[in-house]
Amino acid sequence: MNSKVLAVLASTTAIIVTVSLFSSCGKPEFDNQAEEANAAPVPYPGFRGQEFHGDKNFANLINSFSQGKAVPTPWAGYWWPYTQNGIAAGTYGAGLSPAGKYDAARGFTQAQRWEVENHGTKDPKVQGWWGHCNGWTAASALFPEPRQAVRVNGVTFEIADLKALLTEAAMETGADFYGERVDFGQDYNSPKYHDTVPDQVFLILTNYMGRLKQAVLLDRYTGDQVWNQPLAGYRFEYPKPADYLGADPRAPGVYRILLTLTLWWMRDDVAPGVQTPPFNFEDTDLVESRALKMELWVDAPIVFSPDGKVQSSGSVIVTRENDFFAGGAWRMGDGILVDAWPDYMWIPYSILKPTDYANYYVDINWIRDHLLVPGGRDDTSASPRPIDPAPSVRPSAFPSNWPNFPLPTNPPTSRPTGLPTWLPTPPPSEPTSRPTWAPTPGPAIPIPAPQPVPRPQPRPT
Amino acid sequence: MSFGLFSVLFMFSGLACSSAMASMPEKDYLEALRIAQRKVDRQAALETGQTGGALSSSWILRLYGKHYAPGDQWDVIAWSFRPPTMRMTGAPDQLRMTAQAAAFHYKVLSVNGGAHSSVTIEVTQTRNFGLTPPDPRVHRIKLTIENLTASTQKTYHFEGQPEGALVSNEIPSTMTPLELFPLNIPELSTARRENAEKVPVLPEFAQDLARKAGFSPQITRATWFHQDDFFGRPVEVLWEEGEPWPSFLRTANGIAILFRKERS
Repeated sequence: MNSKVLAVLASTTAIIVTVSLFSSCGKPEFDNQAEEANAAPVPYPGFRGQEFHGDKNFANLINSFSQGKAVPTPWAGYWWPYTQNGIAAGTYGAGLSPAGKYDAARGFTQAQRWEVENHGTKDPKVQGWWGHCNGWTAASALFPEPRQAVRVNGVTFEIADLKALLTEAAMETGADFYGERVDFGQDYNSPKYHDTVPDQVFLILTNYMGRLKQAVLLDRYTGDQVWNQPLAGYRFEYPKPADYLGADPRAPGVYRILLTLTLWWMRDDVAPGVQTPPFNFEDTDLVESRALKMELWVDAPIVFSPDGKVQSSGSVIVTRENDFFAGGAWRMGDGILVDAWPDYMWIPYSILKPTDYANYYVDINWIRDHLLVPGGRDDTSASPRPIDPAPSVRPSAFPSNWPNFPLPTNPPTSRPTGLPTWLPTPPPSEPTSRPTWAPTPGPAIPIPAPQPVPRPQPRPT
Repeated sequence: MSFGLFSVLFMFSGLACSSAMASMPEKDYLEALRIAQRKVDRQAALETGQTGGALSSSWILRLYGKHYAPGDQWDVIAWSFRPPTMRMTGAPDQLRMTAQAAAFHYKVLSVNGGAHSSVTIEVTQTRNFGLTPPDPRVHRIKLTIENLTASTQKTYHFEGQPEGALVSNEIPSTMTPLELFPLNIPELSTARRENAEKVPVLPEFAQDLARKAGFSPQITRATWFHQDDFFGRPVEVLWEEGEPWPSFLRTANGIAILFRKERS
């Protein structure tokens, strides 16, 4: 059987076994959201960015912003997996959930019930990796970290509860995206797999985080899974003259230099009420990192001074023709990449009114007015009620056995694919680690051992 | 064929094709270099005044048929995308692209200079087609455009604030969701351009409103421009000769269509 046939079979198989991320290009819908526009979106992070012009000059950027961090530091949090009922989980609140407390303080809302039905084990489609990482990531960048418990309408909201509610509110967020998300684990030749190029990553980090101290978010899983994390900081190793490659004769106007980048991001598998210490460009229990090697391209020669400083350079090149995005090259060696460059990066703008995804009952304006006030502010218009205990988790919900929603209509490309990203599912721990994707049911006969795949570090228990 | 056999074939196919995934394949590397070189060449041509015989300052004359004049005005409908990209789910019904629609009125306030003119345009949010302003705090936006190469300044005027807030054209500000609407044109001189042969395909969420607005560009007198934004994301412009503004504009964050124009 030749490799083309194998590739086709692999693609067909991928359609069947990949229960991961479907195209975001399904049937669109018109969504005017007129009612939402009557109120200003929340929050507006001030006037950051005004009178600011982007810089593409490599010498300027590497000399002034070879490292940077977000100010304030995005906070560590928890991803509130659907398989534990999302923010209706009572695991961290002595049997009481953040959503249950919210309902009790407001009186009329049904956030806990909604959560179980839509972000929990009553959703028959739920998969083990589904959760709230995107909400936490956006919330950690848009809101200061809750630092103390508050009491509203007789209900005490611990820090974990406050973080959970902010996380839920930020599930639908207006944002600016760089790169599209990979839909299929084996679709390594999709433009979506290669649409964050080194030059773009360099410009985003140095301009947004280096110059503006703006939080930058990313999906750190290069393949099909979604692992949103907020970046705490980055550092480019200062290049040496030996790193300068000059121009390739086939493109005499494109000058190349090797760089090594370290990214640090906050973790979301930590205790929900954890407090985030200052970030110091090092790994901790709450911060983890990854090193990326790349070739950066600029449009004029890079000149080093005798003391090894980058004295002058051209501008960083980012351009595209059709689907081909040009701007440097990743130099990560051979092997399969699921833990390499970001799948996509994003900048959050504001919280949107829930439509089809965020908990309809969790109102960011109410949270802001009553829970984000030091000590809390009672809502005198509400009729508080007793806190309902958190519902139990349906054990059968994790993991589900098979996709029970339609298979994608746009199959992966039939171009040769890399190794599948089959990773063993770790045993549950507390707090719950994110499960890595494993096809179910498992193969009935022995299979060749896959090439080692870099995988996320084990989570602390 | 059993699932197990499928799995075996799948694994073998991966093993057969697994090399060099981490580093760019030579073929792709060379193609990327060529594309980058062409970008460098276009930029160099602009700097030496050799942009295909069409200097930036002549673009407005060529496209609009005249220079902007105070009082020129037109209307635009724009959509800001709400991508589901970040959602930690695989449920198809929660991974649909949606958008927020809004209407804007453009009016030329002043023109300074001749061929190298600087044009100041006021943009206001309107309620055309029953649409609601996305950011009621902003009562007007001021665009200053040099030579139709790019809007060199964009200033938001917020209610109750005497001073406008100047923002970068390259780095979107997070101060207002209006930053995610495609309200200003990209630099055109270094754009790749081609005669239009097909009309833009609007996303389904935009089609009904576009139809109501009479969106029907005449391709025979239109030009496509393909440009990159500051971060290399695609920007597409369809401009019909005789129109004051692009008939269709698509950025990474949204689309905009021209629906009503009025000369001074």
